[in-house]
Amino acid sequence: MILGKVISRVVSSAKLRALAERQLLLVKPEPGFLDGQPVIAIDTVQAGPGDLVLVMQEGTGARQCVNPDNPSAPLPAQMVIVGVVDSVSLVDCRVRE
Amino acid sequence: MQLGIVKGSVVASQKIATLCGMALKVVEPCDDSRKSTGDAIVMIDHIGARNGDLVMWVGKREASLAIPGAPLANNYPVDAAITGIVDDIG
Repeated sequence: MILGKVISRVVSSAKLRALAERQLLLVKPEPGFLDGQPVIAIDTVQAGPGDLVLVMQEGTGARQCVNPDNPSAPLPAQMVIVGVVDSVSLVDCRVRE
Repeated sequence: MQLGIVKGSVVASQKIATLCGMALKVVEPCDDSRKSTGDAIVMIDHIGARNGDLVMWVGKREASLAIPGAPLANNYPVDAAITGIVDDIG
């Protein structure tokens, strides 16, 4: 998983049916994660712009989080927001800027 | 998923049978200010994106799940797919 900050909501009216009615958020990874390039993630925890969030980036886990009743439903996505972070404390940890 | 801009389309009349009928687009990954963030990628498009459109796309194995009706276990030789046209970010 990675840490990132929610920048904004992503509005898309023409999208695949498997993504219909899913809240999509643009997340900017914190320094040291994914080169800082923004990613689009499915929200499962009602996060909003400005929140520091925990983003899982694995397709099987994404299906299980987004469709817990039917985890075998195909989902063309990897990134899912699975938590809003309250605090992070780093001790003697070097992050890549 | 990531953001990208559609730069063009690809026509391949001779291709593997499982890719027949699929539109192929050239997409350049970009950030939220439409600035390029990497090399262009050819991906399948079941949405109908046009040149210049800001799109969202998914890579790796999950790209094969962007084919409508594709089961979870499939053998489509696809590693990138457009999943939607972005109207607005903000």
